[in-house]
Amino acid sequence: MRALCWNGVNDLRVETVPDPDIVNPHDVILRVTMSTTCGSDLHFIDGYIPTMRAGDVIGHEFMGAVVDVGREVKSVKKDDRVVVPSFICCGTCWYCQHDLWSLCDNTNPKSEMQEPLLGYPTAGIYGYTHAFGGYAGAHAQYVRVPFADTDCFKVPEGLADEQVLFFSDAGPTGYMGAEFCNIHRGDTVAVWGCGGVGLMAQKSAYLMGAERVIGIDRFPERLALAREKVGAETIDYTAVDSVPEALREMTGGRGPDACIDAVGMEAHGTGIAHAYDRVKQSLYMETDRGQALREAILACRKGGTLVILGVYGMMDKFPVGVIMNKGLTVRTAQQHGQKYVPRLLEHAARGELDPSYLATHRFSLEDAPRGYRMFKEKQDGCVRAVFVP
Amino acid sequence: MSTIAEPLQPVPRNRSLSRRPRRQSNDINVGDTERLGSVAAGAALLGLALIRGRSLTGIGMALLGGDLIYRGFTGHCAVYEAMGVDRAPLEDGVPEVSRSITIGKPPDELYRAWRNPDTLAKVMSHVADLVENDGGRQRWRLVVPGLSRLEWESRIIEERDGSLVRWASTPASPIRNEGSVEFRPAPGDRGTEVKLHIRFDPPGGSLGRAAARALAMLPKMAAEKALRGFKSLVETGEIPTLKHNPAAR
Repeated sequence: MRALCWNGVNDLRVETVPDPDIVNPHDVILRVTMSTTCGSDLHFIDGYIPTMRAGDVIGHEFMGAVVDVGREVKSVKKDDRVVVPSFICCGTCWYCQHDLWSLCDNTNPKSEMQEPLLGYPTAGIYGYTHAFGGYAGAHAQYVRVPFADTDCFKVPEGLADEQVLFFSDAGPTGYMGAEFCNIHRGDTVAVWGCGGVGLMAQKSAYLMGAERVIGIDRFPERLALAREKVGAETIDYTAVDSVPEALREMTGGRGPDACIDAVGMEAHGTGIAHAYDRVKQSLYMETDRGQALREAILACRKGGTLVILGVYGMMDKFPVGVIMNKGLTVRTAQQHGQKYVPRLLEHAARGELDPSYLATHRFSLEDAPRGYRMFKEKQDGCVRAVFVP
Repeated sequence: MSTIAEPLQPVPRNRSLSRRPRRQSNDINVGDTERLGSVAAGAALLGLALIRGRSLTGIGMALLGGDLIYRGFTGHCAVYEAMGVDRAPLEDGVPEVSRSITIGKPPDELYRAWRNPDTLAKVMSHVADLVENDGGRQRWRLVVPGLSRLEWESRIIEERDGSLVRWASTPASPIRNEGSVEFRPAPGDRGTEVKLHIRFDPPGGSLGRAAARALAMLPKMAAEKALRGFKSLVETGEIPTLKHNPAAR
């Protein structure tokens, strides 16, 4: 089959690789019908996340049609059209049973690589480093999906691929972020980042009853999406002296009740702090450029909630004293998609949530390297590139 | 389908770990520092090999690593023997490791699963091949093609129904070892705390504390992998794998 392979820093190529096959009894094989880029892929494409190997098939946000079914799979059938969360989850361990799906105990075949970094291993991910399991990714014609009964969600009739594709990752990640905010009547939620995850978090915050939602970014087309598709207010951080100051003034001097970081380790910013991060990161003296997260901590109201959805490494200059003195509640996780996908599909079926506008650019799989380039450089207003094998 | 065998006559602990009579060709002819180095380098390579899995590089690392460890363990080097080299003082020290995991099943179910002959072969496949298992006696084989082939036998020497299995290698084994697995109820709805304990007796004496520390790395990773495999197998019916379907070339 054809697949998009990582061959080194900023070196993606479409290659012919072996077709996947069923190994374990709960596996299925999907024919991928659509997959999409994710900002978190840029971290290993740019070389900031270790444990990639030449030839790795990448891609973790996808949907497809079932073509082959393992002998112990019960509810998923051939030809089912399904969307699959990016984390592979067994459905039976203590973590899965407690809705902490991305912490699954039983799906990382390379747990020994992850344990020294995290203390305890987490679930595996499709196409996202060997520390996260070394599974083949989904920017390919076919992909093997373990634990299909737990991880495949059947798409209801009448919804197009673009409408459900993002329920694989951006949708549940943003929805989980909004749920972490524990939104009450009158609450204001500020979201750093107006990419796929940020926009989904903003929309979800409204669905959960937020009074006001404020999106922060610098790209005019992304800020326009936040205003037009979500109904959020926006801040262009290049147009204000200080984002925390702007948020303070927008909220009567209180600050947002909850702040969501939907940016991650390659944040852009302005001024000296950003220049400091850029230099240190480029010398590999720190893994993260953390300006967005530091701003969110400073901007949040006293006793408010800080939600981290962005992917980080071992950040330095992390103002834990500010979190402590302000009594912030920190909520964070990789997406517990299996908990949220059914709810997202219900919202979509009721017409309350349609993320298809995120798919700004469509490519054949053969053109995927160009798609990633456009996505990374945000050329032509690219929010998400989607690939059709 | 319980396959619990009658417990065998316990082998006394001191006897099971007593030094076996050495054949001429296994005599120690490698110095202590060098043995330590051999073991550490071998352990590091085997550790990397475990990480790399059954890729070609991984197998290569495992072969070299296994041989270095064997050389360090036994203090015997075929090359030195051929050259007539022999310089080897003796010391004491027995590397051992304990590792725990919590599994969401009751203790007696885990005990039965551990005693199922198929289970051991699956969860220990990264250590050695289980070539025979009649319940109370296991025959293990570790083949390092072109370099060495190790075979040993272990016997179950103690069993407490639903809570403990203890085993030891037989006196003729080239790598003497003993181990146990204990099952204790975990608090709340968490199932069972499973503790795997492995103890090695390097043949022909031992290596001192530093070497034991270097060695601990390897059994620790092996024990962790065995426990993780056991947990996944009993909780989900399968062990996560990239067989046939690796991400990379």
